[in-house]
Amino acid sequence: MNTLTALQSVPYILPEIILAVGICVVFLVDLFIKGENKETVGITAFAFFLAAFVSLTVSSNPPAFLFSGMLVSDSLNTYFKYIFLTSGAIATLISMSTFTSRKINSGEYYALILTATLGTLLMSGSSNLLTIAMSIEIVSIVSYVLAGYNKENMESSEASLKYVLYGAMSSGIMLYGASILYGLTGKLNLHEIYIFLANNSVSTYALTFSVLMILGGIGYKIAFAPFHFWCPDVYQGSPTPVAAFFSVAPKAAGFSLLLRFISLTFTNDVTLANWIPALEEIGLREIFIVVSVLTMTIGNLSALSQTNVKRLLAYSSIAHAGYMLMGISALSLRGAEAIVFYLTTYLFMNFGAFFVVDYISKKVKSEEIYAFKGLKTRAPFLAFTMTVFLASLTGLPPMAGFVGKFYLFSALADAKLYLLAVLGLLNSVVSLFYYWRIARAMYLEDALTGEKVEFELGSGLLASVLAGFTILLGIYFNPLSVWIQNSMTIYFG
Amino acid sequence: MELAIFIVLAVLAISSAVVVITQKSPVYSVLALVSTFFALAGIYVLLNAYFLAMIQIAVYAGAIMVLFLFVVMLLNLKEQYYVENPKKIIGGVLGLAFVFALLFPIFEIEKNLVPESQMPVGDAYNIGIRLFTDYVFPFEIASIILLIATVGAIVFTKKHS
Repeated sequence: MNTLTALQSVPYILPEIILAVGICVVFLVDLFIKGENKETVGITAFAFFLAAFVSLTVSSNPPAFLFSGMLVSDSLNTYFKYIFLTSGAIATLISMSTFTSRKINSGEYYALILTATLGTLLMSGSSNLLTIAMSIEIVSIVSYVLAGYNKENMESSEASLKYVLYGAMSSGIMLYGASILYGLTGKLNLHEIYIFLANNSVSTYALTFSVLMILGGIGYKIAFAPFHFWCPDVYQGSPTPVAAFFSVAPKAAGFSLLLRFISLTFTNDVTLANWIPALEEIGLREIFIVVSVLTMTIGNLSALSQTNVKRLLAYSSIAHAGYMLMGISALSLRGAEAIVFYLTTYLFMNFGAFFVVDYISKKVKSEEIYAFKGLKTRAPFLAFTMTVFLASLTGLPPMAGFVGKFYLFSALADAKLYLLAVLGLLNSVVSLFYYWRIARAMYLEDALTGEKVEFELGSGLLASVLAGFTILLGIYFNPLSVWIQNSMTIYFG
Repeated sequence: MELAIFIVLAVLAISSAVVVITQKSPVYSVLALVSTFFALAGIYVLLNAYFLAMIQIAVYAGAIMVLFLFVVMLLNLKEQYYVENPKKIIGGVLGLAFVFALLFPIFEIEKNLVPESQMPVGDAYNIGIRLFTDYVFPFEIASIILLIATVGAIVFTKKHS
């Protein structure tokens, strides 16, 4: 096993260090710029995301456990870091186009986005119960502040308060579960816990309970049922760029943590084919089957009756978490690959949908579906990109979402979970109804006013890049899927 | 003897914790929380964690609780009245069931605990060594959490002109 000391580990966490430096620099830049020069802070933050991204591409470190086993660095972790840095950068760009006043466009805001991204990077690298708890805590605390950032807005404050209450509760539950797991095994490091569980028998009841409670803490970040209640209120109340960020980065981080936790604790097999008996005893597969069915069904059925587009997208993001959880219940390498692929496509399509909603609601001053009526004449280009994102979220070919779903369902078929696959397909059909409602409002219904929605070049560019990726990954997905297959070597020491 | 002390401390901790959430006056709640923290500090001493016990009293029972009291008095909070809500009973029953479900795993843990003879002494020296070698990374993460929590508090309290 390659376990490095603190000093040896430093080159491995270069992106994290760059982000941490970025947090401080953004504060300083904010101090020194004067007047209404609102873009400077955002550009600085974006530059640091870019620098972290570049440092990730140029570094080539062999897989290892870092900081005496606190973190793990392997190709899966690296892949996830790309996802987080990209979503942080996109969130920064959306924020710069949305927040027009210098007051909101402040150093604190971008420092919070940088910190949240740093937290997600740490979440995906955690291999120790202590680091898991602390990295989740970073992301949570930042999220509370970001959710309530729009202080003048009552809904935003409500979102923040609800988030704090749920977050505190789920952190408590998770820590209690972790303490039971520590009590059972005497280890904090996930790999050492695996070694203990493989060689000793522990009480199944206590183990089930502790794993369930830890899953509760992770599940709160992913927003799977029954830990999803905060999600619609928080997404609706938060500033839209923040909601877009919440729906992608912490969710992806939760999934990477989930993959890491399950694989490190219950196996040391790189092909994820052999699991220790404890996994069967606590019925982890069954737990995930139930949770995924619950999550996607609740998400989709609740989305049907929504009239607020942000709330609708919040329920849709719950449903998508449910789809990805199906991949977890396959408990196979192909399931894990499918999740990672799905997350990548989800990054582009969900950010895109939130971005268009943000843009339109800012111009039209409404987040209801009727604000989208007749958008084909009022803003033809944005209506087209929105249709691309919605089709992809539904999973229609030739969009990226279709390929993601295809991988998921084929992983399920591989694991012989046919009933689950059928339920997932039925859920996709249900989701067609509510995504179609937005598309119908845009194309088939008459606009309330004939006034054109003002078109901004930067926003148009961002929307077309996101839509471009959504289409491209639906047609030419082979390089990405090869990349993901090569990234799926989890390091077990 | 140790068991007797533990039981006294545990009962004190739990009963004052119950007082915290049942008292209608916030000041009494805060004072009860102080006594919970003292009882916890006693339990830390029983676990050989002397340094942690000291910190618990100095930081939590001392500094933080004084701040709490300050805030409560500054805001001049009146007695809080609860809205009666039938959902509360369901919540209470579920919560109690959860507590009992939580109690069982604890009895399973006992056999794997570290034997007392091998239990290290939690003094400042040992904690310092561990904190700056094996646990240096979580220690640094904690600094980021504190920084961002401070920033968050300022964001929420800052007045826009």
